[in-house]
Amino acid sequence: MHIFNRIKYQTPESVELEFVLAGIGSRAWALLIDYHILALTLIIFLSVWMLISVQVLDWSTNVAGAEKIGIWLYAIALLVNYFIYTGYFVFFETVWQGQTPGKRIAKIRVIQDNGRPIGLQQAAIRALLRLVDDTLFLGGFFIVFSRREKRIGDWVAGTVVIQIQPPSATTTLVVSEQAKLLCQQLIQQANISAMLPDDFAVIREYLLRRKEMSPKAKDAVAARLAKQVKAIINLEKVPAGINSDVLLEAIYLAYQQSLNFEP
Amino acid sequence: MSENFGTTSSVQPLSVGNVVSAAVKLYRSHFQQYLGLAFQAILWAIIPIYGWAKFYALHATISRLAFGELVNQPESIRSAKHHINSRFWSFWLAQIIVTIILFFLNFGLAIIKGIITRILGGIFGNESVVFVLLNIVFSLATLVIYLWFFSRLFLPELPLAIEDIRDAGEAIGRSWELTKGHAWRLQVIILIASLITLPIIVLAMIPFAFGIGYFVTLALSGGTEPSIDVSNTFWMLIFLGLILLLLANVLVTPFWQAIKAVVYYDLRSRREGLGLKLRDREI
Repeated sequence: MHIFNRIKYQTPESVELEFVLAGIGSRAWALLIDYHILALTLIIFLSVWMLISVQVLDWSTNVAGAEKIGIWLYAIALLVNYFIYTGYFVFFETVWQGQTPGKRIAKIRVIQDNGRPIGLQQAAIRALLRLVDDTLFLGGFFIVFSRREKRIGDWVAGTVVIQIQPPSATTTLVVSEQAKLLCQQLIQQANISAMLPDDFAVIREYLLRRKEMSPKAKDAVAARLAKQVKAIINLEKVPAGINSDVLLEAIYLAYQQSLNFEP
Repeated sequence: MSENFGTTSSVQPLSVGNVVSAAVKLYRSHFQQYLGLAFQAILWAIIPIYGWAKFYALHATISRLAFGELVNQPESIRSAKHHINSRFWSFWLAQIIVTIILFFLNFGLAIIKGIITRILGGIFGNESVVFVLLNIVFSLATLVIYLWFFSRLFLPELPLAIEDIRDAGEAIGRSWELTKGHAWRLQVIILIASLITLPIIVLAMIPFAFGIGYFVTLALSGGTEPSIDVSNTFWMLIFLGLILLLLANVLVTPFWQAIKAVVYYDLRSRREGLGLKLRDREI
């Protein structure tokens, strides 16, 4: 699918790396989360600050007799407010190597144009220009209409935002006992080696995703896949009492074992 | 077999952000085509009954075209319309039914909330903090329930436009079935999509804001009757604002139809294993 923009890197060791760009949707989602966390933080800070201020003001007018302290407390609050707003992004993007809580949830990350992780400098530039990008949604338009999806802060800091590849599925599939028994039989009776890695990948995909499928659709998909794979591996007779789902599990195991993998 | 590589990765379920990005990308790459259909739709909407049905049918056409792109089977407008026209009235009918369901749901929720508020008011007293807090909680709860139903009934026109379904009621049932267990994901998607369309709507609101601002300054500056010149300017701004809002709406519609197409595609691949097939033996 040509839906997502990609970028390629050549590392000094001539290894080619390919990343999928984050896309406007994930970036908007991340921003939405981050701004909510920020708003909550600011509300908490301001409430606490107000409580303290009232106490301090009481004390200062009664004891010290200094009335001007109120203006100072207000100024400090404004300053801290600004630091929280920029500091939030600088802090997280530096410490978490280009991620904020929102970006973590949206599964995206900021990296440098040359593919390296970003540091304090890039994070700071991005955070400072965020105000410009937020004005009239400029950043959003830049992301949608530029090929590398860069907002102004990204241009100046020399960064891009990419999607984090889902960790190569280490989830172990739960396979029924019935399938384990059938598996040995299949290795002897069927021509498992006629299966291509692509075929295996599709069956694996089905087994991983079947839990989420509606029962009716699941049965239909299993039956369709089983019919196709039976033709591929030349399996004519399936033992009685074996449904398509179990058959696919067994074929999955058999293929793995034929490659000398331990399931 | 080389062309087959990558097909397995293209049937991967999409993240909420990627659903929205995909819709933006689809709209951008077929901008004229989709926008043209949306324009036709708004013009048809001037004509009662037939025009209104046409309005929804044309919107569904955009979704069908977008879905065709997603499954790598692009289609011409003519062939998409051919399918759509074979169940022309169902799109409008489905829309009416969904609107009625949501209306009565809202009505019912309001009544229940009213009764509960009365009871709580009797227990805690109308001005107590507990009562106010509980009231807020119940308002949020009714909103959440409403949004949940809204999500479940989000895409009845998609099964009509794509599958072998002709009946509006059946299509609504299909929307219900597909979105099962995904209502909250859909909420997030709708939220992100709204956020992205916000700039366009806000920019279109500018003349309105100016018009009202102008009016307010006038009202504040002097008590004299506004001259004809001044009130003309005001009405011009309001009129311009309305036209712009309408245009913004037309501009945004194909994006929402694309969102529906991507959501439908994603739900079908999650819930029904769309695209899970071995090699290219069939079709």
